[in-house]
Amino acid sequence: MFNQQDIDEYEGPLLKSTGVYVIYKGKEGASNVVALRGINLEINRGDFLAIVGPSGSGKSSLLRCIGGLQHPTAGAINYYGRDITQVSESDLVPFRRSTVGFVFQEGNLIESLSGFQNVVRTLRYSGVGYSQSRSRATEILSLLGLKSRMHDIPKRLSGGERQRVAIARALANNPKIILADEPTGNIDYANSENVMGIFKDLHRDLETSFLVVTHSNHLATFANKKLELRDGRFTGQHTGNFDVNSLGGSRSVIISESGNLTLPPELLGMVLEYGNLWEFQAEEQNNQARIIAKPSIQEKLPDNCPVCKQPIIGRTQNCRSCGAKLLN
Amino acid sequence: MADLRGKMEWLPFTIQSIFRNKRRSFAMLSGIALGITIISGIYIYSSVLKTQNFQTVVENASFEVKFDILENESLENLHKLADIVELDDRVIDTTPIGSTGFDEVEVSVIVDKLGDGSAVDSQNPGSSDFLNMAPVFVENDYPETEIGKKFLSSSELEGVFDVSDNNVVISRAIASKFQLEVDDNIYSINMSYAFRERGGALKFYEGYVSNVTVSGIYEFRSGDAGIFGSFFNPEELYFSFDALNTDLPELKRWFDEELGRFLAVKIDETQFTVSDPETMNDEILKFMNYITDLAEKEGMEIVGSNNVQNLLLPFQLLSIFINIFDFLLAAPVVILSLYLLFFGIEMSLEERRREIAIKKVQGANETQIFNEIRNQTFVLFIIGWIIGYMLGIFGAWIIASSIGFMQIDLDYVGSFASYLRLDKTALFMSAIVVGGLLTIQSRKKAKEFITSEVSETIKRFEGVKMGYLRRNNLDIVMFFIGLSTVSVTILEQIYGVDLNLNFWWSLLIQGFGPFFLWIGGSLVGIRIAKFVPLKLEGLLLNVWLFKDVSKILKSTFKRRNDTDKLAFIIVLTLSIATLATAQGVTDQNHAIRIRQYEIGSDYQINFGEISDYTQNLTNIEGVENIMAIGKFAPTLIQSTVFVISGFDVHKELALMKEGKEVGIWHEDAFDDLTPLQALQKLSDNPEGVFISSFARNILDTGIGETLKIRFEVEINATSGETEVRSISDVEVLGIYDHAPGNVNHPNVISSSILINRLRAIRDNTTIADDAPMNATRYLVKSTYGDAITEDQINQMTSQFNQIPSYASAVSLQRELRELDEQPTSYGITGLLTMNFIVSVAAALISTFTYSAILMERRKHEFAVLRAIGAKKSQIYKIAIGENLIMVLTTAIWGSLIGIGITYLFNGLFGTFAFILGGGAIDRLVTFPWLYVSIIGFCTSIGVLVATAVSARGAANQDLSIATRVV
Amino acid sequence: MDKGEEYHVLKGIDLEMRETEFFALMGPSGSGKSTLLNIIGGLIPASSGSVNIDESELADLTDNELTEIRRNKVGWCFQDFNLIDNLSALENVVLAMNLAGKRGSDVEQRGKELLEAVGLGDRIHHLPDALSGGQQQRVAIARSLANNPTIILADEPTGNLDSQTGKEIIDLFKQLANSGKTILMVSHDIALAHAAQKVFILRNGRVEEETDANKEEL
Repeated sequence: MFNQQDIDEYEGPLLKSTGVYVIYKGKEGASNVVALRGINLEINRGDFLAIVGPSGSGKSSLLRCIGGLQHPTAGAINYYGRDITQVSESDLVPFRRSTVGFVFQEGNLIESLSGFQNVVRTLRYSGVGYSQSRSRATEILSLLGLKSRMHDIPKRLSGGERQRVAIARALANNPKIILADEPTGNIDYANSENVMGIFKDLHRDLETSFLVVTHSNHLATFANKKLELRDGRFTGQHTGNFDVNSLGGSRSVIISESGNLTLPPELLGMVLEYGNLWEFQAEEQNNQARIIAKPSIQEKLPDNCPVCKQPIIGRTQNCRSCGAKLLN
Repeated sequence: MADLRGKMEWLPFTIQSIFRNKRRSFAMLSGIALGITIISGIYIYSSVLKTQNFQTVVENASFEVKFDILENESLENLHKLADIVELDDRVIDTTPIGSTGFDEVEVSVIVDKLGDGSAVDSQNPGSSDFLNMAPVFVENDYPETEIGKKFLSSSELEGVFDVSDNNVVISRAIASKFQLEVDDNIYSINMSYAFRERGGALKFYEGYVSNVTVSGIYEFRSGDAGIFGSFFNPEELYFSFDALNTDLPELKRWFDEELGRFLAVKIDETQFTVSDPETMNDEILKFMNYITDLAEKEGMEIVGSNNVQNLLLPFQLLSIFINIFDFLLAAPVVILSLYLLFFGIEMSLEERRREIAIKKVQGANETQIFNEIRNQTFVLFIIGWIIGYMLGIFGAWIIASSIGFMQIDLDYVGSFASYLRLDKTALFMSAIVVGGLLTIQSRKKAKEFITSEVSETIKRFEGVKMGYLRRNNLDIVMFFIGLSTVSVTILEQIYGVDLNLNFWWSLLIQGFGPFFLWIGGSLVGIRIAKFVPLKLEGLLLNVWLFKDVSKILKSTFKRRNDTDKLAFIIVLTLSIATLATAQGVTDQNHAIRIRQYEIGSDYQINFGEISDYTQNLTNIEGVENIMAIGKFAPTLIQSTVFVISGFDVHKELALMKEGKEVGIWHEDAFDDLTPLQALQKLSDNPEGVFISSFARNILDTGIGETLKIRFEVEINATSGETEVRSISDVEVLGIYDHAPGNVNHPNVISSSILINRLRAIRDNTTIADDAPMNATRYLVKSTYGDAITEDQINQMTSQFNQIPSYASAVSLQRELRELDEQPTSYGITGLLTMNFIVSVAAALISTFTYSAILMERRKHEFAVLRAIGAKKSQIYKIAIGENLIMVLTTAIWGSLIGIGITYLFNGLFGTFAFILGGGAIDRLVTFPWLYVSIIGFCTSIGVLVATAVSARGAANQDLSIATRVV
Repeated sequence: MDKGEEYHVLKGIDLEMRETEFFALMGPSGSGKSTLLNIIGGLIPASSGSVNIDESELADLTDNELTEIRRNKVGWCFQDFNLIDNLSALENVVLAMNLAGKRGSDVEQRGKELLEAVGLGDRIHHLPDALSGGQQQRVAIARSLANNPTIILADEPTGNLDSQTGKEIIDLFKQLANSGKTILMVSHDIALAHAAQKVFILRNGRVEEETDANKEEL
């Protein structure tokens, strides 16, 4: 679908989505469900974008649309300037092979084939030669620490190992961008490290772009861009260090073109505690703008976590040490 | 090398996929294997049958090859040819034979026994007594030739085979017809014949052979080729060639000129491949060509012909009918297996949904995904083909060796080897049909599945669309059409209502009725399966056994799972199982009924001369009672010739009241009357008669009306003057269907009194009413009853033999026992057995497959139940309980449909039975209620067990999924 | 767990609980909390070590005996309630008793009592889809109590509930503990920590901390 020349010559972003809406028809009398409300997104070569958000925020739909697995109800998704929503199912095949690599939270693999075979199949589908496929598969799987386990079928692998195989499969054809939905969700800590290492290497060495939906702080630290997805919209953007558990510390709230903004959750909790009537004031001083909002009563956070006794720094929702929820 | 491995990569990959996905592979494999089994089974059976027929013919043929000399076929030349032929070591013996055959010349034979014209039976081709006869001329040394010896060894000969000095050897049938015995002298045998001269003109000739003595009477023992046999094989009278020379100059001339004689050649079978018809025919051909060449060198132009082929012809014709019938009978299971095939295709694709989505993500295009499915289907087909063919061999063996429904003759096991063959037609046809359907359907379905969007993958399994037929309520229409055809049939068969439907309507009803009832009924069964359980579920929940899981069952019932397919399959299969059972038992009973009717009592004795044999018979040990069947023929009623058959009604009635009647009177022997009532009526009106419904129609008469019986009597032997005498006001007492002793519709039944009266009038004598009736046929009831031993039978038979004028005797018990021992010819019960086995197997397999898929989807639910304390056994109980009522309902409904189809099919059997023999009396459906109920019950249990087994995975799963958030 | 991981999910956990003890199990995601709970509840076997409930050693039991334990010794509350749809609240509670072989009017009566005890006395005939999340969880709790278990295991019982309702559920558990039940709960909820007597924190496969929750209000 995209040949190398197109790619090299194209100057715009690798991926750009505009106004993507996804609406599902309601079942048997239930109303329609709007999963995505106008998603605008841009990823350049070498970007690592992390998307965080609660369940039901539309993450899966987003990923499927971006990955060409589902047609959005409205909007455009451009790869190298070409809109994949206008492309037929069969034309999407080369796209899936060489441009995008997909890693779901689960259900990535053919259950009746070994990890090795899963990766080999992927390569063979793309037309890679017989022995070449096998050597490349071995190579990637070894890289992910699975050399001794690669001939086992998924049932015999632990969650983490399965996920690593899935990642190997996604990486097999050297995709330009990897789309991942909670890739380390079911993996224990040490293996997450492993995986992160690989992502890091790819990101650094090959400038592979990443779009990852995650809960993990760890993973998010690799991102150079972080977006918050809530109720089908991007409501906040983060740069620099951020803490999944205390997004408030790093977030920039996105204000849509129509002037809507979604109050960040931790703010929401705090805000509502003080009531739902607030006064807004906007100031501009020296070309710097500020919005000041004042509540009625200020609720105080304790100094130390009541559970683990660790000191609480800043206004956070969960205790960083033991995860206890501090605010309602 | 790597390139080759790359190309062959698909094979290990495909095989691995097949074995790793056992359930869906099994679903498709069973459908394929079943279809192949049935189709190849029938073909294998047919070809084994053909070979067996061939071997039978070869075994019994007295000679295999005949040679004709063109130009001058004198006896002298034939002897010369014989010398040449006998030099070949493939030849055992030769002898010249003169025969008029069938197609070249028509011969009409009239036997004038006494020379006074009084005992002549005219051979009227139009009468029901027509006997196809032809003369055969042989040399006097015929019985010493190998051919003659073969002839004698395959027949029973009474007397001697001596054709010299104007002797004749005749067949048993001729002897019976003309009431001839060994050493009888025949005044003259008139042979007139017509043949076409060279040039086309038809010429008639007459010849007499006078003063002939019957030296021997023969009776063949070989296999019966049904009605075709009698067409092709006339009854023969063996004369010497001398007789030809002396008495039949014209015929001799014809023989000389027109290839009337031939050289019969008996070959050495050990040098030929008797086991393979085709090869043997080729070998015979080669042999004939070789001899022809040889003869030419000696200056004789000859032409040979393969006698085996000629003898085979009637069998071949019969085989065609059998094949058609077999395929019709196998139709239900063929349809079932095709359904299973389609079902398997659908299930296996359904299971692949997720996998197809994953493959798309992996970058496979549609062609690649399709090819993988195609490869697996192909490999499965090959495996199924092999398995199916092997099972087909087994199935063919079952068809052939069934001696009764679900009974196999173990003695026949030895012949299993003859079924182990690679039958090309079977392999080819089964591959084409099954493979073809498989390809078409799986292509179509696979494309549907693959092209759907990736995100649609988790479509709800329960949202299966109702088929076209059901949406438009056409299933109810089909069912009612089927139901009405059943009603028509039942009215006719059980209630004897004569709806006078013409042949085409009957064919339509018999042909389409079963199909509509079967399919329509099965579809309606789906509706019933939804409706009835709704009402009865409450009951189930209160059953003690299910109390502990009653709440869960309640929840499932409310959910209305998709049980359509399961209900459909159960009705479809169980109705066939019922049909097979009922018809199987009916078939067996019919065979018994026929023999009871033909023989009429424990024994039937026939004599050569008409007389009163009461004393002779009563004195014999083992005889309890006898009944004569007296005949008076020919009588004319209006313009139809009838035979009046009379019984000693008073005596029989008295015996019947004590339960000791001689004849086996069937319940349906008389219309609307029990045998007792009928005999009583006859006894009260000794000059009345019972007629057949055929007679009633053509005579346009009815009960209570009167008939005039006429017959012609010769009053002056010299002038040949005749006079017509009659009895009028013979009352029609009722309609009969059949009477013991082979009495059916050309007969009119009367009491012995009427017979005596008629005879008295004819002979101008006086006969007392209660005088014993002279007859040639006697029915004998023996004191030994059903338990009579072989020895006792032999003893009685030899005693019967002593009676003067004894012609033949047949024992009912012996016939019935032979019935038990021989595999039924033409494999009807075998096919029914196979129908039965297949339908039950289909029910179990599809239930298991289908349930397994449903259970898989409920894994989480079951895990939670286990977590809160459900035992594994309770999981199984749930699986069973959910389906219990539905299964029982559909099983009952299926049995009912099966009953309907049984009656419809009965007509079909009846039609074909006429060709296969045994169509003289109605085929009464014997409904084995107990048997059918047991089968229905067992199949239901089997289905429920299959359901439970499919829940095994759910019961034994890793329970940690209970806590997983879905 | 022996799925071939070089890394063990749980490494040598020691845990003891007695009657009227209400313990909480917390920890970052992926730490193995659910796995531990599953092992304790007899849903999955431990690779090594022993689990002993009321003096029955789980590893020694046959499947049917294990089922007995699950019926009569252990009560489960799940994060997504896992009630049987199409059955009323009462029927869901009675179900647990039916499975244990009990039936009759006293079973119905007990069901009603349990539902009253969790505050749903007026909704016993409601179907799950007519009940709010919190109400459904209450039904689940009532169900878990049906066979008078020794210990109640709750896996994120407030996970799908808002904070207010969650609090109420925790209070309910507290009551139960006070009345003599042993309760082990996995959660993120701070109110839980508040209500529990002890909190175990599972990190990297080990119990790393154990603090006595103080009884002061936050």
